[in-house]
Amino acid sequence: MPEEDAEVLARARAGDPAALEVLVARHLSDVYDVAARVLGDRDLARDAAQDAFVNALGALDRFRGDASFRTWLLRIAVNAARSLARREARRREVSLLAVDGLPDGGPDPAAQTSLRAEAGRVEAVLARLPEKQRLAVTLRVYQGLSFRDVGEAIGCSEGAARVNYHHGIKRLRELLR
Amino acid sequence: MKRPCDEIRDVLPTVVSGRAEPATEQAVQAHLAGCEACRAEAELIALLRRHPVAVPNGLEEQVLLAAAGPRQRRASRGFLPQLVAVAAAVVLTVLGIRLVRVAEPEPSPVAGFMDTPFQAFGPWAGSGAFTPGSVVLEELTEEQLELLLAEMES
Ligand SMILES: [Zn+2]
Repeated sequence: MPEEDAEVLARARAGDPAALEVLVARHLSDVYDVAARVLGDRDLARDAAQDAFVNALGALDRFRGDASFRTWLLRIAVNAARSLARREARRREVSLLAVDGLPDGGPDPAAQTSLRAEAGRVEAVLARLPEKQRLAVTLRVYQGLSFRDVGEAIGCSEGAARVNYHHGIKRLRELLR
Repeated sequence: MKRPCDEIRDVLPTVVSGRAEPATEQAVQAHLAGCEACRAEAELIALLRRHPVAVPNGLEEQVLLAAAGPRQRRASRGFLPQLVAVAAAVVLTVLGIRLVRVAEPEPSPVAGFMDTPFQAFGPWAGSGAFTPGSVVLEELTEEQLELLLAEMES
């Protein structure tokens, strides 16, 4: 986890555009991933990611450093995505997120097809989890957050974050059986 | 007291992603060798990790542009909020849009913007008038007003 953020943050607070670029480059994929998992929609996730950065960078003065910057930012991303979901009043349903976002599967078309199928399945089963379970799994498995930070990001206790994570994993195992 | 499998499963994501301390990794590997259920869970986590969501092209530029915008405008603060409030009031009146507070706002580490989520409903949502409990424009932050205007323009 890049703890050199402190120095970059100080420059970003002072309005250094290069520091903003560093922060965005460093955290965009995590922010987008979280937004996409909350919303289940690529276009909405773009907007949510943008909102998250605008909100966070506009509130840098209020970042106190008692959580890591990344956890703080991911919490803002979760809130931006949830607020967008409410505004859109759309149902979170299975979309084809993972399918067109696939990394190059190599030259073997058969392998690529099966990788795509697998990606679609992963996405579909994740989308079927209740939001808190899906977020706990996403933040723990993809972002590597501790249970404490997962709780911080989704707004629950460390214990509840752990329970949500384990319930989510258990459900995924059933769904993928 | 936690069972051994619970402790192992707590740290599986860290181990699968290769970020665990060597001692932890060794202990987990030893456990996995003899525990089929935990091995299945490790495989599930590896499967999930094979499929992250890829950042779409152009998003980084879009975010940087949006993030730079408010900062550049910061110098002209003072005049802008009033202008935006007046413009929003005009647009709201014309469109007859109601703003209603969302019942339970999410907790947020950011005071201000995120504390007062709002939803806009078109004329189809009822009478065009402001209703008791609706958001008063003066209560909206500058960012919310800008967001509102931007949404109306789109
Ligand atoms: Zn076990």
